[in-house]
Parts: sequence; structure tokens; C-alpha cells
Amino acid sequence: MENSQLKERILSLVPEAEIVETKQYLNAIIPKEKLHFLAKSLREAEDTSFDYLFCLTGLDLMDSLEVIYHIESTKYHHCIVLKTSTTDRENPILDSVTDIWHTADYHEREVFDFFGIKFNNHPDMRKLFLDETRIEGFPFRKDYVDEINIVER
Amino acid sequence: MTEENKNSGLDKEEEYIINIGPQHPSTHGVLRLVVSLKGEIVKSVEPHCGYIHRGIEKMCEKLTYPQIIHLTDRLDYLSAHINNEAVCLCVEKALEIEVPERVKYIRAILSELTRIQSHELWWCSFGMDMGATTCYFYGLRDREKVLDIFEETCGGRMIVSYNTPGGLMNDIHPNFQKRVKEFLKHFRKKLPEYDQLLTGNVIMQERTKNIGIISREDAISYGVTGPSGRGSGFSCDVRKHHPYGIYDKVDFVEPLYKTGDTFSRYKVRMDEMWESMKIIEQLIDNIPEGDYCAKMKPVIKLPEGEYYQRVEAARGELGVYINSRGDKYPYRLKLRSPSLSNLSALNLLASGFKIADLIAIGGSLDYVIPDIDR
Amino acid sequence: MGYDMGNDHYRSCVLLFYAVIGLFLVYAERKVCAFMQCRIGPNRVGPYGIIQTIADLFKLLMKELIPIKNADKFLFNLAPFIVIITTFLAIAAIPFAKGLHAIDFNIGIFYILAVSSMSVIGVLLAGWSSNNKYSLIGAMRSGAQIVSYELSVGLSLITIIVLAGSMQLSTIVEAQADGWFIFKGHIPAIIAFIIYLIAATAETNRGPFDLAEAESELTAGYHTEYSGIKFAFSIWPNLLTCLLLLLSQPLFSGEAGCLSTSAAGKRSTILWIIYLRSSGSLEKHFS
Repeated sequence: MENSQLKERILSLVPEAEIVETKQYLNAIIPKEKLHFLAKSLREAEDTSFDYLFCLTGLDLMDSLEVIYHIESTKYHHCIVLKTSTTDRENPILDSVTDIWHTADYHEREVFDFFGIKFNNHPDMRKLFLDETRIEGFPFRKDYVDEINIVER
Repeated sequence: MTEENKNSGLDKEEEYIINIGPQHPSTHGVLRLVVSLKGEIVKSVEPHCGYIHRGIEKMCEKLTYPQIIHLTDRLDYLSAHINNEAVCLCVEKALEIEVPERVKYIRAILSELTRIQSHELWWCSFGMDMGATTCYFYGLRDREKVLDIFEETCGGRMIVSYNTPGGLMNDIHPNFQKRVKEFLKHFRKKLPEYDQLLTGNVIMQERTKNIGIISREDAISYGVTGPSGRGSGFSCDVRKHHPYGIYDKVDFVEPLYKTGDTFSRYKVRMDEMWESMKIIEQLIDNIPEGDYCAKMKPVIKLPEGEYYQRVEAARGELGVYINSRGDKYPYRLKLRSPSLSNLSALNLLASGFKIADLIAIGGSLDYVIPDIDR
Repeated sequence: MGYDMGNDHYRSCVLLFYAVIGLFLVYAERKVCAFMQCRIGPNRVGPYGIIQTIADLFKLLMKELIPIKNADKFLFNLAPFIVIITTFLAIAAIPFAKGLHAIDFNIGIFYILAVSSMSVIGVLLAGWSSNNKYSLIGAMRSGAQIVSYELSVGLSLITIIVLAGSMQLSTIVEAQADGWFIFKGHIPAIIAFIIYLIAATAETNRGPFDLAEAESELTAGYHTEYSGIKFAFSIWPNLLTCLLLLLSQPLFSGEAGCLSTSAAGKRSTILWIIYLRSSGSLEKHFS
């Protein structure tokens, strides 16, 4: 499917989506309540069939925490990017997409580990890499300060 | 007590947890696998990662782009050149720079050599995990030749850091073509020897056929890419579907097997070594003359925006995501590691098989722990 | 037929031979494995590395015997001794040449079978008392394997007993004065021979049957927690149970053992040694 068709499809499923076309991929910024629904529809629809999630990234924009999903269809080889964010920095919660793409399991744990974003309905919401006893807080956030381990220039 | 209650009580008592701990001969690095056993059958496997987490992504937020190249070597150190290439390609895509043809050829040749030596090391350790210790010596003997080529041209055996945004750090050594051709001639004779040694062995086949089967849909869902995915019929070669560099002009086949068991993952890697040799042969005699690096500004600043580059590392699809705010440092750099996704399928693959099979499955998935932990 | 070597001096030499042969077997295996793996093997200590094993023995003797905190101390210390003693007892009955055996029971084969079965106890004790889950798994595997192959060994030996009419080893050897059992006994003896070879190799935890100490999975199986000389006591019987394979010589080929002085005896000795070494080294190469 072409980018324009994908744009129409996303807007028809989630009218509040904000579509940005970059040189590489079509980006769709989705409100967090609609993400799971959109992801599931995109996965299950025959003509889109986005069955391969190839990257799940967390991002700290200073006022909000964002999660970026790069998905691809192995049948049609079209790719899009879904983005969702939450402004709550104290207790950020988003919906998990583990039931749609199993690869999200470890990646969401990684995002929780580094940014503190919890995911609803995740089978095993625990830290993946960091040790709780040594590192408190969420290191990848921009406001994370650690005088001992991080040397600021 | 009803039948049901009796059984569930017994099951809880019989759960026997062993720790294939961070130090173990066959976890290929520091990975802790908490294995729950019933007799010899594995009921579940839970990997605990993070023993070699160095915070590379966080460090990259304070480093310039040429400096980042040196950190990417240390991710999946067996495909060091390919990791470097990934970041360079992302930066070049963002700056919309066209690298000279010579650079593309040399990068492809070195990438394929990297793939060959990574698969050779995989073959060594896979054989050794199964108990066939001789494989280790045979594979490493041939890998040394590739490492000698790297050392002569790039300066480093395993940690090469030869790529830089815009091209290469220096031109190739005058002996490069000759040595690569010699290596190909030598390796063409040795690769059938590997088959004779391990592939046809009855014990090896009994230990790998129908063990650790993953279907194509599961492979796609778990994101198992690279040779592990191709063993299940998931056609995921980035060089074919989203070609970069010179790969759209070379002719090679993507080996695909349908069974999805350990043996087919093994066969895919053996076939890939042949394909890599084919690619190198198409390129080695035709390296065009020219610059080894495009003209770049002294300080590289990426324009504002998000860029994603996918390459085919030896283990699977490596992704580099750069979010730039116009600075000379990236605002966020994310590395999508192939080994992490491959590892996430381990529980699915190993449940219901014996401990010995768990080791074989882990070997066939071929994960490298620094790649998982970054 | 060689001359009678029933002299007591020679008999005590047999027991000494047992103690010393381990050194040579280890060296031979290391060298042969090395040549198969495109490398040289021990070549520094002494000419061609001959003294390597003796140096290793000194090292093992000098190592600290690390006591395990939560292990059952009595059993932990007892286990290697059980294994060594039972193997020793079994070797004592094998005729190395006419009259050159320490004991000559009239129930020779039965005695050897019984005594070598006891080594399973030592293995299981070693694994259990180490308080280590890996050791336990290794011991269970080893115990299960040995016990399952015992049956095959026993049955194949019964064929020989039937053919010879007696369980006494010297009688069995003399019954083959006019032809080896392999040739005289025709098909049953050949089948028994092949089964004995495979099952006895399996009992030694060598060959392709080494899942009990699968290094890549269980680090070292049931002897993981042993250090120093106790480790040697676990490894040693492993090698020396190979000598039980030598039992196949008097039983199936009638020449009384590898030290016999007759020409035919020497020929069959060479065949058995070649089999022993090749099965051990090929296992490293191919399994």
C-alpha cells in the first residue's frame, strides 16, 4: 500500500491521529488510548497485515515520554511508524502490545527499565537490564543526574 | 484430597530450578538462564540479562558521530564492521551524502568477510557445545586468515572501526585483493570439510533434528531475524528487501528452510557462508578507483529529524534509530539488537526439551551477549 | 601358550601396573586427540611431553582439598574411594597373562560383574553429597547409564560362560586353547562380542556415552566439586574402567591378557589397545 492509502486507513480508524510524512517513513502520532486498537486493526486487516514489529524505542521529550513503534508487513513490505506519548512523568502508563507482537515483551521491559514507563497487560513487567539495588531512577531520562557514574562535560 | 489437588501440590514441590549462571561454558558470554526442570525436561527458561550492560546508547548522547562508530564495534563484536557500517549509513542518509562507489564495494566485501568469520566462530562453538571439541580448532584455524586480512587493512583484528561517516578511514592495503582471493580459494576447499566433520554426523543430527522448532508466524511475531528466522522460512534478509550499499547489484540467494528446527538453522548458516563467498567473488575484481571518503565537514551535524537504518548483521537485523535536534550529538540513539529478539524466543523454543537440547538450541540461535545488553 | 607367571612378584607388579598405567593412558589420549585437532599436544615437559602426566599428578597432589560447606562430609570424602576400590578389585581378577592375576576365583566373572556394579554407588554418592544441582544431574545421568548398560554386559558375558562351562577366568582361557570363542562359538559369540564392546564402552562414561560429564552443559558432572587428589580419584577410575575392556581379551580371544608372552597374545593385545585408544579419541573428534 502506498503512504497515502495508509494515511487514509489510519485516519479512518483513529481520526485524532496526527500524520507526519518524513523522507523515510510515514509517522502517525496516536493518543495513548487508541494505540492498542489501532495496532491490532493494522495487524489483523488483510490488506495492511503489519505483523513484524522491528523496533520499539523509548524517547524522553522534555515535557513528555514517548514510545515509538516501527512496524512492517512481511507480505507487502510497507513500513510505518506509530508514536504515542504520555505527559505524566511521575507515573507514566501505556498499553502493552505484547499480545499483538510477542517481540514487544522484552523491548517494553527495556523501556520500563530505562524510562520508567509501565505497560498495562504486560505479562511480566520487570526491569530487564539494570539492577534495582544499584541504580535508582530511570537513567535514560534527560533529567537523570548521577554524580558518581555520569561525568558531565 | 481430590485428584486435582494432589497433582497440583506435587507439581509445585517437584519444580527444580537450576541456574545456568553467568559463568558457564556454553552461554557464550555472561547470561544467566534460570531453568525450571522436571527431571531432565525443561519446563521454562528465563533469561536474566544485564551483566554486561554498558549504557552505550546513553553514552552516545554525549559523543559526536565519528566517536559513536568506535562504540558500535563493541556491540556484537563478531560483526563489528557491519555495526560500524550501520551507523555510518544512517548518518550518510541523514546528510544525504553519496559515498563513492569504491567505498561501497569495499564495505560490502568487508561485511561479507565479517559474516564469514562470524559464522565460522558460531560453527566452532556450536560443535563444541555438542561435545565435538575438534570443530573448535578447525574453524578457528580458518578464521585466523580472515582476521589477518582485517589486521592488515583495517588495523584491528576484531574491533575494526574502519568505517567513518562519508566513507572509510583509510584506503585498503595494496595486498588486500590478493589476500582475499587467496582466502577464498583456501576456504572453498575447507568448507566441505566442515560438512564432512559435523553436518553428516549421526549424533549431531539426532541432537538437532526436530529440536527447538519455531514456526514462521512465531518467528515473525517474536522478531527472530537473520539465519535463525530464515531457518523457519521467514524471509527477512535486509540486503534483499531494503538493499543498501551495493547489495542491489550483486547476485546472491537467501537460503530458506521450512522446518524451523535447530538443524535447519544450522544449515542456513552453512549456506550463508557459501553465499557470502559468492558475493565477494563478484566484487573483489571490480573495485573501482576513486576516493576512499567523501568530503565531509569537520564537525558533523545532522539536520533535525528522525532517521532509521537497517542492515543485515551476522545475527539478524540490526537497526539504528537516530533522533537529532540539529546538534553534533544525537538526541537519542537506539540500537535495535538482533540477539535480544532472538533470545526472547528461547523460552518458547526450549520448553519441553531436555537440558542438552537447551544448549543446542541456544547455540543455534547464536546470540552474543554484548549485543543483547548493549 | 606362555609360561606360567604365577610368581608372587609378578602378581604384585600387576597391581603396580594398575597404578601407573593411568599416567600413560592420559598422555596417549592427549597426544592422539591433539593430532586429530591439528595441534601438537603436550610437548614441553620432558622429551615429547612424556612427563606431562607426572607433572599433572604432582600438581593435583599439591592442590588444596576444598571442603564444601553444606556437603555431607563423610559421604563426600567416601565417594571417590568407593569408585577407586571397586575398580581396583575388578582389575585384580583379570588375567594379564597365564597365572598373572591377583585373585583367581572360581566365580571369576560373577565377581567382576558384582564388584564393578558397586562403582555406581560411588558415583551417585559423589553427585548427591556435593550439594550441587549440576552434580546431582550428572550423577543421576551417569548412574542411569551405567545401570542400563550393566544388563547388556551381563547377558553377553553369560554367552561366554555357557560356551566355556565355567565362571573361572583361567578355565575360560584354557577352554580356548584350540581356537578363540569368536571363531568357535560362531554367531552367538560374535553377537556377544559386539554387544560387550559397545556396552562396556558405555559403562566407562567415555566414547559417545559421556553425557554424565558433558562439559558444555554441566561443567564437570558428578565430580564438579572435587579438587586435588580426590578429583584424580574420580577421573582415574574412568580411564581404568577402560581396562575392563581388556576383559574382552581373555574372554573372547582366549589369550590370557596383554602381558602374555605368546605371539598370538601379543597380536590380540595390539588389536584391543588400538580399539581402546581409537574409541576414546574418536569420541572427542566426532561426537
